[in-house]
Amino acid sequence: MALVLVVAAGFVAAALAPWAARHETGRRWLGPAAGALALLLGLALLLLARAAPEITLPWVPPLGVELALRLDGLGLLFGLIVTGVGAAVLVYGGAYLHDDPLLGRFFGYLLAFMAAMLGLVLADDLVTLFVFFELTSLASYLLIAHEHERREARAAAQQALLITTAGGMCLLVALLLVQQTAGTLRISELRPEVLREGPYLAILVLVAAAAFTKSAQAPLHPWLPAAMAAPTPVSAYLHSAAMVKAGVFVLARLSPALGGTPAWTALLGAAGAVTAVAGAWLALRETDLKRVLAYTTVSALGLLTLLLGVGGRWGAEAFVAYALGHALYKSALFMVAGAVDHAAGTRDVLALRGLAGPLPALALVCGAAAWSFAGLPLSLGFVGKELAYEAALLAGGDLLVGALVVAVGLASAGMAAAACLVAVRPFRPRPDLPAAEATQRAAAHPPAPGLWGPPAACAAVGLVLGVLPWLLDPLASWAAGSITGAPVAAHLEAWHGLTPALGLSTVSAVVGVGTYVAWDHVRASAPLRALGAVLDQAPARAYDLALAGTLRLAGWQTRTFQTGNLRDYLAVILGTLVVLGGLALLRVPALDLPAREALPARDWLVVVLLVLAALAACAPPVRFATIVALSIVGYAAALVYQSYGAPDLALVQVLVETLVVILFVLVLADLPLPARARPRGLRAVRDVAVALGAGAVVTTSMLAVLAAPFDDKLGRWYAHNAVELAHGRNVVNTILVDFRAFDTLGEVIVVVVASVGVAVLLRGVLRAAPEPVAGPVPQGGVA
Amino acid sequence: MTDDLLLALPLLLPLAAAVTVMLTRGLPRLHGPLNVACMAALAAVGAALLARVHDGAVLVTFLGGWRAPFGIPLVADALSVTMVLVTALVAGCVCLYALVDVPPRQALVYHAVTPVLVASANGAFLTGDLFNLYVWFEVMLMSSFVLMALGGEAPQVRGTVKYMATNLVSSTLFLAGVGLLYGLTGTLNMAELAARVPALGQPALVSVVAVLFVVAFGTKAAVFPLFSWLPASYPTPPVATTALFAGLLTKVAVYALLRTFTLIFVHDVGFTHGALLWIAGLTMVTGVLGAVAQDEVRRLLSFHIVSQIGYMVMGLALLSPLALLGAIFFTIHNILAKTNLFLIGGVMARLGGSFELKRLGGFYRAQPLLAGLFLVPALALAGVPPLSGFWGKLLLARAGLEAAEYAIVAASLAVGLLTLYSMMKIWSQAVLPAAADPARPPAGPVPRAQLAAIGVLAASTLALSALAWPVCVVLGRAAEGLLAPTAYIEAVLRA
Repeated sequence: MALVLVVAAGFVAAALAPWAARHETGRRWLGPAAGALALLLGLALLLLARAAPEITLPWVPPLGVELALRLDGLGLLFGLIVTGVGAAVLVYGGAYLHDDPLLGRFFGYLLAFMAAMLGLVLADDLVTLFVFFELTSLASYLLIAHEHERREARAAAQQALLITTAGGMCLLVALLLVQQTAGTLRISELRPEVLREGPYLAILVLVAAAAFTKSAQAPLHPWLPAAMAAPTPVSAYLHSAAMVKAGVFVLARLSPALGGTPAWTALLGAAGAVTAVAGAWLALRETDLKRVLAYTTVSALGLLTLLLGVGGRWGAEAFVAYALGHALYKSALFMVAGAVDHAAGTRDVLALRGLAGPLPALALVCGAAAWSFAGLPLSLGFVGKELAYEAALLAGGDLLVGALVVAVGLASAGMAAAACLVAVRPFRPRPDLPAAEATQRAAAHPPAPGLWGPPAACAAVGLVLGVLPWLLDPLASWAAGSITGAPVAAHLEAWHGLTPALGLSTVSAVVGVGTYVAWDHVRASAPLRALGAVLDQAPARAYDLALAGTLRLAGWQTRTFQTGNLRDYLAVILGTLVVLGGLALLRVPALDLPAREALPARDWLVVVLLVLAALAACAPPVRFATIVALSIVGYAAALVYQSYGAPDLALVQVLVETLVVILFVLVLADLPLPARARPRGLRAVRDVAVALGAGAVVTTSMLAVLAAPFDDKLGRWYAHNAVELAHGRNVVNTILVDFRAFDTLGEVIVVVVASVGVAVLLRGVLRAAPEPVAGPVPQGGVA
Repeated sequence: MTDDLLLALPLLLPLAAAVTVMLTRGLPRLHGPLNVACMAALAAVGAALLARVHDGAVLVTFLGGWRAPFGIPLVADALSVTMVLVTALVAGCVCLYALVDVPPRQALVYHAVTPVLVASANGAFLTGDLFNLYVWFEVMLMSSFVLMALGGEAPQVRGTVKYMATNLVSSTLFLAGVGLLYGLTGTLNMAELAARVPALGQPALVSVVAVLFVVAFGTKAAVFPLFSWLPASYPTPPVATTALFAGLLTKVAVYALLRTFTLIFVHDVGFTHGALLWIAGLTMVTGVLGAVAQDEVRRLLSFHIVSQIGYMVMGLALLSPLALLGAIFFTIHNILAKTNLFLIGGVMARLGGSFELKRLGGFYRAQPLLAGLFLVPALALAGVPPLSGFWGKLLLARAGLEAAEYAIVAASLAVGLLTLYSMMKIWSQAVLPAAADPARPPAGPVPRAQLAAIGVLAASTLALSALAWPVCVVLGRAAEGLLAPTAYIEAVLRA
């Protein structure tokens, strides 16, 4: 139950946030209070860890869906990231947006996101996991669009939601396939051997698609840099530490069940390697601090995917260390970028220089975080990167080892360069140059403690854990064990000795620093431009084209079906009858039509009359003639009734027909002829074909039914019982007003309502000035 | 209270309300509250009926005391009673909304005809006789026609003409189908039809008749390609009318499809339900593409009605217990969400002065409560978990995978994505941006009755989401009752 409370607490707090923000005191304390709650929840997870609790509540049993939560090593690791970084960001967010009128809603979404994230990392049921997975996407949408009056914020929010939800759909199908194959949705009960019997490849690809969209793997990543339109606290939390890790988390969560196959290694390894390298180097094209950081986040996510692909004990350990290290330094750097923006009024590295003078605290924090970012010794980033190299070196197969080492090396070098770009270039004192405008502004706007304290905390934790990484051993062992599915005794060390990994680290760091020194040339160099064109602009353009194409298709399709012309609509309805009815008739074996008895001459006359009148009704453009022809059809029908023993029906038909003709003549005589009364060309052919076809289908159906023997049980019963039971000699009357009086009730209502309707329409007509009946359809109408 | 009366009340109550409105012309202030009270009572009746049939029991009463197949029975099973209950709920909310929305000149007719429309829907849900079903469709058509024409604006009349003409054609086909079926079997009683159709031994011939029903009900349910009348006519009348239509009318036709294509036309499913599956997929896709292309709230939502009907037909076409459960669940979810979206659209237009997306704006800042209430049905419709639409879609997707119909599952999920896109279109083009005229943000107060109506419907959607378990249990029995209708048939024929 404690786990349920941990998740629910965030949602409750989210609901209370807008209420709390209605008062000035509430607004001031919202950030610290929310941060305290996050810390408390993290502490709760730590305290619960020893008991490794799990809880299963029935949710929708008919679907096999349970609300199952379970705390294991992986869940604890990510739960601590979510609550720890969350606490820092929430405090920071309160200071960052202190004068925002929508602060309450902002915190509502942020807290809801935290709760959803906790639900995701604790979920032990696939549907539970999916629900929280989608809720994080939704929270991300609302948060990116926080500055809702800016068009680009709304567009970025929409792009993020569409891409991640498309991935979510894949995850949904995957989980249904898993349920179908394994007969359970419980993650801890999934058996790899069972899944490999089933549609393993489909499940793997679908899960990977979900993870790749959510964790911004190239080429599905462009939504993440675009999401930098969000306020900085959102970038620091969702788009570096938490939400974007949901994708790799799902992969890690399912790796005991799905991992370890060649397909798994190939898919994750390839996607991860490409993303890791591309992200790090694409970052070097950017000048906006947040976008630099966003691309390196893409790179880090690629590295994490790669490590899961490599798998095994080393892959899992590296994953754990790297995920934690990245969350700490990247969120700190984002918060610093936001603070710089607050103080200097810009985040453009080209406009920033010498900030260490006016902003010494921020410079120190940034340097500490970037130390880890660059993967320099005595930082958690270093520990993680060393382990990544180890994992790559220990992977089986020479070719694979080579490719992995190159990928990790290139990614590390790019990240080291980006770290310098973020931490050195804006802050390095430049007495040789005149003070920039941004520097002067920063001197006048020193950031509040709320803006540098939280990132300082994150960076400090990263450094402490870098020096004393063995503190993490219990957590790392447990988490790595959850990833591999077998117990792991992890031992993290700050210093591995003179290993090949250290040599590779040194090389990548040197390359990185060298790249930074030459950054002004590298930034616009041809290889980077080409990389950007292939892996960045092309997918972004593909998204735009897909969206525009869908809209164009939608417009075309709608114009095709929604012509505004009633004649088209009727032709479609009858045409459907012809097609479906025709198909159905063709399927009837030995279509049995009744034997043609010789019609008496009198009936032939009626038939000829009917046909001629029907043709005449279609032919002339003179309305009066049409009315006459239609009335002949009606009277001829009356003749048919008469000759087949229904004189009462014939009488009614004649009366109705007469009345209708009189009404028609009265009404239509006064109306002008509509302009486009008759279809021409193809349309005319279509109309004739549809009319004849519909007639043929209905007639053939009727003949086929008539050929079957008819059971007149009802008719005989009514005739037999009319007098005795219903006390009436007219059988039809007894049916109408007694046996089936309920029908008559309905018909009476029809008549009453119809007369009300006529009155309504007449009142409208009398009120309105006369206007052309067949006026043009208004512009843009779909009517 | 006897079952007989309980079964008749869903018709008697609204008809009595209609008559009372007509007879008290001089007391116009009474009419709106009277209808709200009537719908509340109807909901109570629905709940009482549900308490009787939720375990799979079937209640029957024979009107006039004439036994089947000679007289007309009213039959209540879990499906029909659920529909009666949901109808009462949405009609009540629409009547609540209409307390402040109907121009005085139109009020009398609106308040008199709306309960007739509800009665006709209930008649269609409860009748056990095919011809009688036709009669209630006629009542529904006529009363919806009057409501649609009410006001008599030129675009409204144009829309009404299309509505009337296409629906009359479909009614004619319906009647022809009833006639042919009677010719084949000699009965109109649906339970007896269920027993007799297999005895004919001519499944292919019955399928020819079934086509007439597919086209007739399909037109009224607005499936592909028969839907064009709906987007042409629904956006024209006042919102209080369109919202009721959106929630009810097409769903009555879906109910009729569900009933007839589980009870009567189930002996040639390769053809009939195969065709329905195609129709379902194409309906989803064309509908949502239509919605995506629109820039006007009511038109966008109207195309969505079409799209969502596809999901319901998908459940019917797959014809498994899970699929039918999904279809029924989805129908209920959709009635609640869609009606609410139209009502919210109405309030937005009232405050913002337009239904055009680009002329609306400023709601996120000025009307946070309304914006929040919009999200509930919008996200539910888009199938965002854990809201009701998600459960419906999950049921259908699972049923589709079990039947190995992968294409329809893929289509349904892709359409879900586009649904999300189009809901986002309203949100990010009409709710989030600054007001089109910054001097006039949509800051006016929302009438309390309308806010209450929207709130009740949103709460219902949330309740359906949270109570997915018990709802699935009850509807699961309804679905099983549809697939194995022995209880239905025996209740009617052996009562």
